[in-house]
Amino acid sequence: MNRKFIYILIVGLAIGFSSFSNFYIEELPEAKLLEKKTEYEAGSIVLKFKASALENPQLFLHYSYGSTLIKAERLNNNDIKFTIPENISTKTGQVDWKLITTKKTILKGTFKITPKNTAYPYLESYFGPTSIQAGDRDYSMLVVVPTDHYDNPLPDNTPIHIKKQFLQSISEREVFTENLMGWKNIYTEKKAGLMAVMSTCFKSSSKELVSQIFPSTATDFTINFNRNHAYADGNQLTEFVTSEIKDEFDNTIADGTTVEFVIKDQNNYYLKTAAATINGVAKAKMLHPDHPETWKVKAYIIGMAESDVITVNYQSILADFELKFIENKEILKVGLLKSYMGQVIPDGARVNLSIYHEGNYIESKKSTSNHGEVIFNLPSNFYPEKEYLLEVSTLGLTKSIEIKKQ
Amino acid sequence: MKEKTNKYLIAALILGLVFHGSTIFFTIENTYDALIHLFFAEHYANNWFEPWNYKWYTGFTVMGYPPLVHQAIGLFSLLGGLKFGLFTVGLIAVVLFITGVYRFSLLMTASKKAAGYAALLAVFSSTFIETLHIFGQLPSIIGISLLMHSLPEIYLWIKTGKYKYLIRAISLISVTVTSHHVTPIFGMVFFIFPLIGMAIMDDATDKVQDVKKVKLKIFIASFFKLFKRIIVFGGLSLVSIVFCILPYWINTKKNPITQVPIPHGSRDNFLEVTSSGLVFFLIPWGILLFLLPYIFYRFYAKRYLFFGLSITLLTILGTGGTTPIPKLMLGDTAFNILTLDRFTLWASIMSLPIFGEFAYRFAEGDLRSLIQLKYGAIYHRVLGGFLVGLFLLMSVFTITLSYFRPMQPQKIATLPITNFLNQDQHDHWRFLTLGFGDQMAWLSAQTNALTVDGNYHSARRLPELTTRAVERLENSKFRGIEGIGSLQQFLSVPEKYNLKYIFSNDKFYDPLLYFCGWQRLQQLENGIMVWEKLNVPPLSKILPKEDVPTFLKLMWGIIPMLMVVIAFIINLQVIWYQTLKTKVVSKPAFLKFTNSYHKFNKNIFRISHLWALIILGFMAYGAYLFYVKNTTQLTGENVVRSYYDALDFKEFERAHSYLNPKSDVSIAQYMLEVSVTDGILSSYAKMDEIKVEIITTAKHHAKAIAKTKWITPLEKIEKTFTHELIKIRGKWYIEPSSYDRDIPPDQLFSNNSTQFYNHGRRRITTQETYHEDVLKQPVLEILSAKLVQNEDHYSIIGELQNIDNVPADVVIKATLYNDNNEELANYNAKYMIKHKLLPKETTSFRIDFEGVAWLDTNTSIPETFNPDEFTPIELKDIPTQFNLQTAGNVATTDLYKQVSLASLKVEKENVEGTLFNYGIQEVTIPQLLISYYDENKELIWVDSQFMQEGVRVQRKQDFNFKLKRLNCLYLINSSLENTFVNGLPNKDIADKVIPNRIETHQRENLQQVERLNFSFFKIEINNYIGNPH
Repeated sequence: MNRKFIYILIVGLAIGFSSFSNFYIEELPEAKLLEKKTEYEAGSIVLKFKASALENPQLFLHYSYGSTLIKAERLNNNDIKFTIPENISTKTGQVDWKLITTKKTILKGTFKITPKNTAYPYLESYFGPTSIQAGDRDYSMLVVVPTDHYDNPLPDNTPIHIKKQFLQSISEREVFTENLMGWKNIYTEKKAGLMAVMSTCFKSSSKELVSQIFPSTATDFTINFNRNHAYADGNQLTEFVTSEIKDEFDNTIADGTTVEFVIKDQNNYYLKTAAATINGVAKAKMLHPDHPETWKVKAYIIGMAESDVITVNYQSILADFELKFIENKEILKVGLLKSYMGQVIPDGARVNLSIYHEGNYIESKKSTSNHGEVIFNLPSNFYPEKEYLLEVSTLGLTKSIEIKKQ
Repeated sequence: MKEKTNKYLIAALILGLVFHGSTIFFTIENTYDALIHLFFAEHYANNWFEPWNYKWYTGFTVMGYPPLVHQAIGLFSLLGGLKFGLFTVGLIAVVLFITGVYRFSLLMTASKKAAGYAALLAVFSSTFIETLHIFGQLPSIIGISLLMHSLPEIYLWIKTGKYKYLIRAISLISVTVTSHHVTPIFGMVFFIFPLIGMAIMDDATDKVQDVKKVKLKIFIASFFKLFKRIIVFGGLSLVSIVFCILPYWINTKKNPITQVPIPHGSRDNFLEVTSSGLVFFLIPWGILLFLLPYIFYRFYAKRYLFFGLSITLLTILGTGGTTPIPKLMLGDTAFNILTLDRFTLWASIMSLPIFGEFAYRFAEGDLRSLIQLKYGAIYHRVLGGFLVGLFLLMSVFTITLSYFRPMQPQKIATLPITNFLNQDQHDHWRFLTLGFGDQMAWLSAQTNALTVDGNYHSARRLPELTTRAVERLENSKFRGIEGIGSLQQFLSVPEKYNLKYIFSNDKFYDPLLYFCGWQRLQQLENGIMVWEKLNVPPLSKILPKEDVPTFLKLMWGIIPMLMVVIAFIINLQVIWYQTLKTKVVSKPAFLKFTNSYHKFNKNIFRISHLWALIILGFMAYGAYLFYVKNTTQLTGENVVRSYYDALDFKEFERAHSYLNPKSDVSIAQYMLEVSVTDGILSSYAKMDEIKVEIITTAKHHAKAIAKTKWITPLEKIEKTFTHELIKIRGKWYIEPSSYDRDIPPDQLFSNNSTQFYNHGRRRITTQETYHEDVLKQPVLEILSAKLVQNEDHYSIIGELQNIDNVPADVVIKATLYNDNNEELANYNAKYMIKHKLLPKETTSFRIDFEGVAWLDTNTSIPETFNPDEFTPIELKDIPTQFNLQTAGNVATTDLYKQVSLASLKVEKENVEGTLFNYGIQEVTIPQLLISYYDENKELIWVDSQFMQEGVRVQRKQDFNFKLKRLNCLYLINSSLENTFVNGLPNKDIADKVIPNRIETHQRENLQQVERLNFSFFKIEINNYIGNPH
């Protein structure tokens, strides 16, 4: 070993010892908690210690929201007192504390804060969903959270009275809080209506909470129709009406339920009209066809209910009509179109004209009646040929006429 | 000699302040830019050192625009409000501009009188009026004015080498750059380089006593002599330009402008787009057009030679797309980014000294003597009257332009909107304005609420916006396909942007909003309709932001104002001496280089006359063309065109005048017939194109087919009309077409319907809505859902039903996945669904997956408008699975279902039918939802058809459409496995509410078709009511 190493060793040891000298074992000053309580009610909490010799005592607190350090107050008799800050002392839960001085922990302990006892707890209550379906499957859940004045939930097994009103009956029952709250599934009724619930805990009452019981799904129903006359004039309306639609529990189904009326015509085309129910009755309207027709009508609440099939007949209003040329065969006049009593048909009856030349289709024109007549312009500039076949159809009738020019 | 106050300058300042000071109150708020500057000013007034602004574009940085003017307005606003700040800065700009022109003119002409005249002319120059009162470009004006102020200092530094001039010049350049970054950069090229050239020329002239003796060699010698000063100046100004707005440059580098350029009128061909020609060429040049020969003659004098080159360049560049030269000179990129109107602005401002000189010579100089000598005093007076009259006419025309051709919608009172946004936590969502014009900026300045839109397009950040030439979503209808395309994406998937409220000032967008699932909430007192979308989550408390280092924030907040203070202190001394004459200031060096105003060049006198005649000739020809265009009834084709043009602009009286006068359809009758037609075509369409074809003609008769294309907010409509034409006394007329004479059955009738009302909050509280006021979400059931591929894009189709007892608003979102459960895309149902369902009502739906259109900037953007344009999303893999999330919310509006399908006829793929409205609301746009089924009655496709005409109460409306061929349709996946209703599995909820569903109902009444590659179809009707009552 060379000399250098020895020097280093000596210097090192010297430094080591000199620092050790700081860690001498100190005797702790004495301190004592004056009131040994492990449980406090939420509110103001004060810890007092007998610790006259302590220099700069502080209390280190560890609680569910974090940790903090508070200063002591000296009392006249040289005891010390710590006032636990309100944000800690009003929350339930466990608090660990340590009494410390500048150098060392002197004492430690723990206490529990419990909810403040009260005859008038605050009640936080929820009831939902706020609308359910009649029957036996659906329910709304009532949740009640009784709390003390500091918003701490009351301890488990706090009794809660629940009252429920539906129509004439009021029923009652009791539940106990568990995991901070009391709850109950309130099952639906077979009748539709408004269900109200409330709860009480000790001497406090909650507000009224309601859930709407809507009718259940619809059941099959019947339909009927109303109309002014049975003629196919393409102008009047036929109204389709359902019977009062009920659900399986004899409730009238909810207002606004859509009923779809499907009409199958003679050519197997499906026509449609729809209406929303009021007091269980849906009324939908349909325009009369403009040709003789037999309709088969059935109504649906899709996926849930359907009606019987009814047949509606419409009679022709017109046996025949007149076609004639005026002004050198340049204008074709259709009409007079007469309705079922011989009256001039209301304006707007549709008339179709198809023009053929030597069996070939040329074009078609559409028009609507005015004072029972329809006029088609056929200027010879546009129709230069000598012969045309004109086919006119209206109100379910078809007639032809030929143009023959010199 | 004692210095005298320049009377002309004083007069110009007084006139300028009175004239602009009084008109500015009526004009500047309607300008394009002023309100944007106000918005920025509001930002600085409240967050001086914070460059991030959350209000626009989901957040953007205000470091994208030099801050001086905004900060100045912001500072003044602390005294008297934002608008006070705007007007004050506007007046400062007027003073700076007039004095700037004076100093620049004095430098150029060395004649106080000419400079005085120039200052006077500057007050009324149309280019200045346009920039201030029409464009509202305050930063640009302040920039150019300060640049003009700096020019004499730069000249004197180069010429004399005294450092005080250098310091003044640099301080002014610094203020210029903090006001407007483009001005000093281009000003360097177009103003300062020629000025340096002139200084060198003057130095050379000093050596040889006469400018005519200056040869290239002497010039080069002078150049090298002054080279050091030029370099010092150039270097220092470069440093100041970079340093003063360093944060701006850093921001530009970090967020380079990668957006698609926005079309600008200044790039148009002015001969084709005459409105652009007027605004970007005729108005800025104004009366100067008549003096062009003189201006060029003077600028090509040897001393001004470099200015001559500069103004030539500016003039050519300012012509925009009229000639291909500007594009060749600038290159494609620069051409498409720069707005070329600024070149014309600078050219006309550069001409002002020469204009002043001309005015001086004309009013009291040699030109006057020449004219009087040659043509007599009367001619001089007449000519003078003509020129002054024309000049003032141009000024008055320019300042009133926005009165006659409003560029902005009517002024909107913002108070009801801000009140609405402050109410009931409405500002917890983003909003969007439609049809507000630039007033949206003012609204944004007034409220704390955020919008997805914005009005400073360089700061756009969302790819939905930057990839298109969309300035604002707000005016998207003017941007055609791209505009509506962008808007549709925001409207279909508003959850993505927390967009819940739309303020609509333009009913054009109404159908689009309705069919995207929005609902009308209320009409505010100012007539603005508020639209709302349900099921949109509120904004999160903490929004993303791009932060910048603190030193940049400090630089941005401090330097601009500091520069102003420094420039003020440095230049105050000069202004003090000059205005108060407390000390005789030594004459600046440039005053030595006087021009001789004794002998007006006779050639230029003649050429000017000739030129004026040519210009007058052009004007007369233009007027003639305008007149000829109006001969509407010359041919059959013209009359049909004019008729549709009149209809398009709703000028029914004009349209009526084209009808056969013998047909006894009175204007009153015609108006009645027109007024009763409603629908997408007559109420929401704009004609895009018309092709008229005359198919048969005789001497006095003809038959025309008009093939028209109309743009509507929903789709492009093509419609062909046939007209019979008649010629009476040399004029062609249209035979009036017959109208539907149908008479409804009942005069007065009653109708019962169920109506709904939702209170929202029953308690008045600023807290969250009370628990018991929160309604249950209506329960929906998805009846079928399928992933299909049609040609090259994927869709989810299906059917759903509202199985609750209350009406529901339906939002449906589909997500596509590949085999490895990786998400590929998601989108919401747009048009192909009935968004509002009554209890137990069903709807078919189709969700298409739309990509952000033209994300790839290389693909060409179609030029014509097509609102129906669809950009399929690019998927990185083949989707095989999907997830469907539907949400119901209680709906109380848009529940009108009283329209029946009254007749139907199917021939091959042609479907004809009639709708009949038996209720009491007029249906503006009926939509037919058409579902296709295969032989097993399984849904295979969903399509929709908007009807072009509305259905009035108790009336029929015919429709016809062609069924789709469906040749390339493949079913990929059909499953209800991953379908959810209000967050709960579809199956569970369905089993609970309807355990015994009758499955056959949906399949019972399908319409059979033959000989097509599907077997059945079904029609559902969705009714949009434009004016509910």
